Amino acid sequence: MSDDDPNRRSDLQDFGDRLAKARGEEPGAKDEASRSIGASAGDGLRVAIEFVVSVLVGSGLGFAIGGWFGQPVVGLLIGMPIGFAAGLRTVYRSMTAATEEEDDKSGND
Amino acid sequence: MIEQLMPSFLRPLAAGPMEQFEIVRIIPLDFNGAVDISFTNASLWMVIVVLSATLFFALATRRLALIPGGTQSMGEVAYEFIAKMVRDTMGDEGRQFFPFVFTLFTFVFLSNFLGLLPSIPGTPAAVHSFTVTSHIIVTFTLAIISVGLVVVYGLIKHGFGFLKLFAPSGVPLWLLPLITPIEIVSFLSRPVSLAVRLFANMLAGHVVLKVFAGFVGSLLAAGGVLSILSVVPLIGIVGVFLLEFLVAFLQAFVFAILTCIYLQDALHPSH
Repeated sequence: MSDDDPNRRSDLQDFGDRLAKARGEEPGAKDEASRSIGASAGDGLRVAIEFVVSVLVGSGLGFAIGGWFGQPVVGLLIGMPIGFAAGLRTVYRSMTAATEEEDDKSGND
Repeated sequence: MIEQLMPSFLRPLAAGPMEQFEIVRIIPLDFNGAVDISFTNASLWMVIVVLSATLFFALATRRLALIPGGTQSMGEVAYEFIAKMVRDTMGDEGRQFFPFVFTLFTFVFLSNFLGLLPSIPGTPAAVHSFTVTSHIIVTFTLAIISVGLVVVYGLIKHGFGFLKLFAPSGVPLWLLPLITPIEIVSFLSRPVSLAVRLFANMLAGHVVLKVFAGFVGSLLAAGGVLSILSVVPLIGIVGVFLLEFLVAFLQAFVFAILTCIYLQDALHPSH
């Protein structure tokens, strides 16, 4: 059987059209439902872990660089607020992205 | 202690909740303590994961039909799911990363998933079921590969322009000395949070399962009314197990989508 067969081609086209139609109608409702519980909980947990890790990485990096100059405590004291700020920035970025996504969705409906 | 009171078939339930994460050497390859590349139960399960993924996709693509059969549709669902994710986050440019993201997702998902299989009772510890993603060194290696790819690809594609990632557009010049360290720390915390998230989820889930299983064993061994109560944690295990199925998928998904988001930075460093 070759792909040039006109009958087969129109069959494929028809199948593709029906598939697209069936898909086009379905997703909206399904997306909303699945987003509400699983995805939101995942987002929340993700942001929390990212914040804590940022503070720890900032502090650790400050401590290491400070130790390099013989002043680990000073490094820690500088590194911690930087890590804190980086954590806030990550949280802010995730939340802005999430809000924009929601806006896009409500705008399309 | 209570372990001695238990009938022999319940004794495995009294094992500590952390015993399931122990690394057991199967083929020792220790070079005078300098380098230890022994083949362990973790290695064994990684091999199992890779082999089952290969076998599955070989079966799924063996006889391709226009109207797919069972295995082929499962393969297609997995393919389309990741393809859509890559397209949604990175656009058409991201297509070159599809093989990487797909491999990563398959590996993480199957590791999480196969780790949930119960061990065969009576077998030696080396072949007990084992979740490789419950070890932070494994997840951290995967995370470093992802972030390493971002750095290498970003530097190759944009040269020093990639460093714009640490100096967001629209920030006044005098603020840069403050913003740049913040952005660097934010970037460096990515592999760590990627690794910790997956590892912590898998570890916690398996510990909870084991602790509940321990309750069942202890209550049964206690006898009398308490034995009847052992049904309660047993139902709990079923619930937690179902939740773990969801987590196994969700964490693989999160790992893959975050990799996509980070790769997007390599494609377009100025955000």
